[in-house]
Amino acid sequence: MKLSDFTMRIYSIAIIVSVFLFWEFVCRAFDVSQFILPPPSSIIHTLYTRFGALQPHLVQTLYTTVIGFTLSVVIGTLIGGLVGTSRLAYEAIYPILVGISSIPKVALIPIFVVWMGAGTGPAIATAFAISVFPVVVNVATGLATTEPELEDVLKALGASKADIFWNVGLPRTMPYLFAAMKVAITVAFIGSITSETIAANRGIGNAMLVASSNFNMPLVFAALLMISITGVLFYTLFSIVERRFTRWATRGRDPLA
Amino acid sequence: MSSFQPASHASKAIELDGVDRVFGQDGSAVHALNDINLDVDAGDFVALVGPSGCGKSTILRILAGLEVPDSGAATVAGREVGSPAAKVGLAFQNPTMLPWLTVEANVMLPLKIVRPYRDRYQRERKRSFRDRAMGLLESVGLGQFASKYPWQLSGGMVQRANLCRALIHEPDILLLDEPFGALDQFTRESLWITMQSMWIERRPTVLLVTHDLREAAFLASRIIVMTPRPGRILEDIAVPLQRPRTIEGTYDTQSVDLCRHMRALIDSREGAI
Repeated sequence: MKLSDFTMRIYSIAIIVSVFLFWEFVCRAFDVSQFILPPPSSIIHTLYTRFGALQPHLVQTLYTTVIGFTLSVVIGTLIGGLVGTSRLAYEAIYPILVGISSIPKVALIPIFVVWMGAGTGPAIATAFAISVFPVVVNVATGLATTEPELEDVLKALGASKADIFWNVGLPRTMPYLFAAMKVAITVAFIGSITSETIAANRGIGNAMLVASSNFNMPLVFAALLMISITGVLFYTLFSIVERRFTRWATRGRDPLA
Repeated sequence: MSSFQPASHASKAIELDGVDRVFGQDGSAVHALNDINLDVDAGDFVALVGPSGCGKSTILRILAGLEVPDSGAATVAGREVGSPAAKVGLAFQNPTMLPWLTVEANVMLPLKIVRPYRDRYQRERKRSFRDRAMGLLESVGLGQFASKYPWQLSGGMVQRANLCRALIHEPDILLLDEPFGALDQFTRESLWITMQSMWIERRPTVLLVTHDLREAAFLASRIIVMTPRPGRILEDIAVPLQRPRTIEGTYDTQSVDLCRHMRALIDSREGAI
C-alpha cells in the first residue's frame, strides 16, 4: 500500500495524538494519582503555567548542550578524519576510544566536578564525552569506505592527498557526519541533563531534581516534556539541514518527507 | 630517464620499454606483465585486447601513475610517468562521477586539480572553463543535462559525461578501461559512434582496454592482442578499415575476418594452458 504524503502525515499525527489520548483516558478511567502518573492535560497545564520558572533552566541546558555538541562535532571530525585516513591512527586511537566510550558517563561526572567545580563545566564535559563517539565513528567510516576508483581518478590527475580529501573524502563523508550529528545532539542533551541532576544548581536536570524532591510530579513531567520537544526540534533541524546538503546520497528520494 | 629528450621521441605519446610487473610474493606470485615493449604515436587510437588476467588493465594503471613497474620504463609524451607533468585522462568501466556534483562540475573536476588550470579555476569556472565543459557536453548530446546530477542520468549518458571529463584538460593520452563494458549493446554501439567522432575531431592519443573484439575493430587504428600468465604482447595489428566507420560496417567481411583472427589468436593461447 502506497500512501500519499498528505495521508501519511494525517495518519502519523492521528497516531501520535491517540497515544496521548489513551494516556489521558487511562489516568482518568483508573483514577491514577497525580503523584504516580499525571495525565497529559495536567502536564501541559503545568508546562504552560510554570513556563516562566522553567525557562532559565531550559536556557542553561541548551547552552551547555550546544557547546558540548559543537565541541563533539569539531573534535570528533578531526579525530575521525585521522582514524579514517591513517592506518596507524586507526590501530592506536580506536581501542582507546572504544575503551572510553564503554565507561558509563555518569561515572565521569564526579571527576569533572573535581576538575571544574559544579555547574556549567561538568555539564558541557558530559555532553561532549557522550556525543563525541558517534561523530568519530561515522566520520572515520565515511572516509574509510570511499570508493578507491574515485580516488584513482584524482590520483591519475596528479592530485595531492589534500586535494583528494577536499574533493572526495570530505563531501563523501557528509551524509555520515549528518547522521552522526542527529544522534549526537540527542545524546548531548542526555549528558547535560544527567550532569545537572548530579552537580548543578541550574538547568532542566536540576529543576527536575528539585521538583521531584518536592513531590511535584506534574512539574517533573512538564520538564520532561520540554526536553522531549526540544530534542525533537533539534533532530528536525538537523534533518532539514542534512536533506539540503546530502540530497545526492538519497538520490533525491526523501526518506523523511 | 634523463631530462634530455631526443627529437625522435617528440611524436611518441606512449613508450613502454621492457616493463615488468609481478603481483604477490614468491609462492603465489602472478606475473602480470612480462617484458612489455610498446610505442604509441601521438594521435593514434590503440586498443588492448585479451582475456582476463593478461595485464591490459595493469598497463593502463602504470601509464596513469597508479602502479609502478617492477622494472622497465614508462613514459607519456616523453615525460616519466608519475610526474605531475604527464597529463593523463582516465575513464573506467564504473563511471566515477562524484554524486554530489552536477554533471558540469564533474566534467570540470580535472581543471580544478591539474596545473596550470587549477590556479585559474576559481576565476574561470563560471567563464571559459564552463564554456569548455559545455562545448564538450554539447558535442556528446548532453548540453541540456549539464545542471543535472549524475544519478539523474542513464548509464549511457553518464558514460558520455565521463568521456568529457577525461578529455577536458586536453591530456597527452586518454586511457579508457572498458568504458562501455557495463552498457547494453545498443547504448554501447551509439557510444562507439560518439567516441569515434570525438577522436576524429580532436585526435587525442587513446589507449583503450576492452574485452569486446568488435569494439576494438570499430574504434582502433591499431590493436594489440595480449596473452595472460605471463601478460605478454602476442600480436600488433594495424586495422585496415576506413574511417568514419559505421555499425553496419562491423558486419562486413573485412571487419568480421579481423575479429575472427583475433579470436583464433586468443583461443590458441588459451588452449595451450
